[in-house]
Amino acid sequence: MNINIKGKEEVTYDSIVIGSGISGGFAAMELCVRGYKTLMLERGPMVRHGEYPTAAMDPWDLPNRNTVPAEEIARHYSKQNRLSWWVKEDHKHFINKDDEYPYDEIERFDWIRGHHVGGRSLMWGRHCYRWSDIDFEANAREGIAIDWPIRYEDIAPWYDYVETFVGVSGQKEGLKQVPDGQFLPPFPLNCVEQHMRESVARKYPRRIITPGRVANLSRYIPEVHKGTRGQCQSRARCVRGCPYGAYFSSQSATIPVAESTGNLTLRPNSIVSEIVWDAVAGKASGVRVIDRESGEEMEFYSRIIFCNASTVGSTAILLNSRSSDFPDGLGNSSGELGHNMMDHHYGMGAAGRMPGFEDAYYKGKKPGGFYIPRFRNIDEDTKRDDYVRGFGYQGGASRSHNIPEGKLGVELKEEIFKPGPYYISMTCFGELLPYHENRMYLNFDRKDRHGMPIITFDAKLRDNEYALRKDGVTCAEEMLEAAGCKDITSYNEATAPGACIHEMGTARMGHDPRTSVLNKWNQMHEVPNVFVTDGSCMTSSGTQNPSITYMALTARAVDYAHKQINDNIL
Amino acid sequence: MHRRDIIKITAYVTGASLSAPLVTSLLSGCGPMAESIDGSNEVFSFSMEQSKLITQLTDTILPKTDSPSASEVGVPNLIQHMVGTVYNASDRKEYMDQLKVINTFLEESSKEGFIDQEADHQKKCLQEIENSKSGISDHVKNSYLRFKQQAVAYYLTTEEIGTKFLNYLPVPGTYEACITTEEAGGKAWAL
Repeated sequence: MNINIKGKEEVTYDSIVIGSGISGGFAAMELCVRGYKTLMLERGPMVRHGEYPTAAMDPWDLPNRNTVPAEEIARHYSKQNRLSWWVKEDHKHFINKDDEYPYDEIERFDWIRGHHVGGRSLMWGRHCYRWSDIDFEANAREGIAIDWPIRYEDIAPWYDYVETFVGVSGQKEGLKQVPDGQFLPPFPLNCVEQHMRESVARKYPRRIITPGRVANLSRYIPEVHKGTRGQCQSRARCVRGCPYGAYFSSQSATIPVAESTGNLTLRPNSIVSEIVWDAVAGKASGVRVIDRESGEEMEFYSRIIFCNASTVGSTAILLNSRSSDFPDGLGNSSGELGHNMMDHHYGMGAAGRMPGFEDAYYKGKKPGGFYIPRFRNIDEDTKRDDYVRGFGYQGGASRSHNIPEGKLGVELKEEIFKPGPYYISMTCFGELLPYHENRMYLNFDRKDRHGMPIITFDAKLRDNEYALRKDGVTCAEEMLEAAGCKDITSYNEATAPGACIHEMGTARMGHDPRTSVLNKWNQMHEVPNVFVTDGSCMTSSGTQNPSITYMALTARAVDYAHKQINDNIL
Repeated sequence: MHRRDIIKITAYVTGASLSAPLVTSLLSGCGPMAESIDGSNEVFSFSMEQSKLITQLTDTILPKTDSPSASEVGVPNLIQHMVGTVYNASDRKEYMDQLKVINTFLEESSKEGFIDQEADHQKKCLQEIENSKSGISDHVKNSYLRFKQQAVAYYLTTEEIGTKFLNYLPVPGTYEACITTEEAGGKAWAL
């Protein structure tokens, strides 16, 4: 039922963007600066830049040394807490409550998120790595799933564009598998990390340890880094929100720029239940919204719609948008909507103690450690016969507390104010193949408190992933040994899909409308005025942290949509 | 738990002043509405003896020197609060089992035992575990080392110690990748 007490004109916009996260914010900004009156709908509550209550807290200011009590976790965060490092006092207010927004699982899926303006752009890890044709060509080359409808040359200029605006710190390495980008100065490797880089490169020349390419402003350039941004202060408290605006988020960058055009209407607490298909016009007319607080239902109309509700959110909306033309979900004649769910998998890595650097220290806390780009299956020399695709690593070296064994009392007090030994640790992230059987779907018989069908996940790791993982751990141990680490330990406990918080796929791009949902412009094959540019569009998963790719695809798709509108095609 | 026990323990641990977090945590565990996470109606509380043991262990490991003792900056309070109200049931059980292992060893290792003994004697008891002479099982040593690790970590993250005895730098400005430990005054960063 529609309760729409406003005139239709008042609820009609040039464009609607569903979702205010990392890709939605970018879509809204790109549309607004081109003059589009844009309605951005966010299902969660408002968070304004600066509303970061824990940003300046020290360990003794946070309750329970930043630990959320077990009872509270059991009541509200039972699934979010599957990531042992995630639910913390310093940002639990940005984390979804599982008792308010539940989901079902056939196979375990750790759906890690928060629902508020800005979404996970407030809490993201900020690593940004380009895809290459090694990634875009992989499906076609290996006869897996379907071919990507784009190649690196299609997206390269858009990487240039978004990286420049986002502000990505990094060091050029000339690697074809993770191409160099438009970088601000890197946050440099510390003495031990530099030593590791050199010793690993001597023994394994294809394994490069480089400063993490993080979206933190190592050099703030006001003319370029528009919005409410500033210089990174090396506090490494990014996950709480940054009052300096020193890392890229919807709050610090895209929303303020969109607002400055006067073209943005941001409506939080707005759950989009479906995109409305107009069978006569042959396109989407608008969206139906449920107000999260009042339960009121309303409709908004626009010429074009950008669906950026996150991988799972967007696909859920599309699956719920049913009509006689599209009984299985909007634009889903292929039947692929909900299928080919991917993520990166981790829960594997190694660590060791690094002696010999007791005189070396660092000052400040950099917002990223090191990154080791993929070095397997990138050419004939590195081809494996036990698995396809590859893995990368994030890690770092730091000094622990100094708590020497054998000492207590007065003697111990003399030691504990000194820095302790260096430890190097690294976590491996592996690619997950696009399996048709890995999927999400809606349970129309089970509704949540807003009347929306509950989402069910059925996706898991398979043989290629498990074989890849073994090598990922072995290589980590090799690198630590090459550096001269002692007491090396390693682990390999496979994470469930979702746990890496890079869930992607389920509304994939492809050449053929019979086997894909979106075309090469992120435009629905069957609904020309709906564009989907969040993680759901991905046709394979790569090893690289994907957000910068989502942003590049978003900017490219808005540019295309705008040209289509100017040419009166859309 | 009886109210007079709460006051007794609180006074003992904090040296007579009421400690809000500890009292709250103990009180919140009491009463008909309190229910533990496993659904049972059992309420957890440290006994007087356990509380003393924790306090005296931390103060033996970290006594007053020209920096405060562990109990002067609230470490025993924090341990009891964390274990009593923040930990889940299985972590709490593991902690209490390890505490018991330490306690049993200390009671048997000398004829006086550990609790309420002279500081020199208490130090000798623990030094024996640190030096791991024969007859001390790995289980005892590991339990003790975990206790020690936690006590020191909590100690180093108190405001008093963090701001006055470590290098406290909440807003570093720029990141410097390679300095000498000497340039940092030989002290660790607080944050």
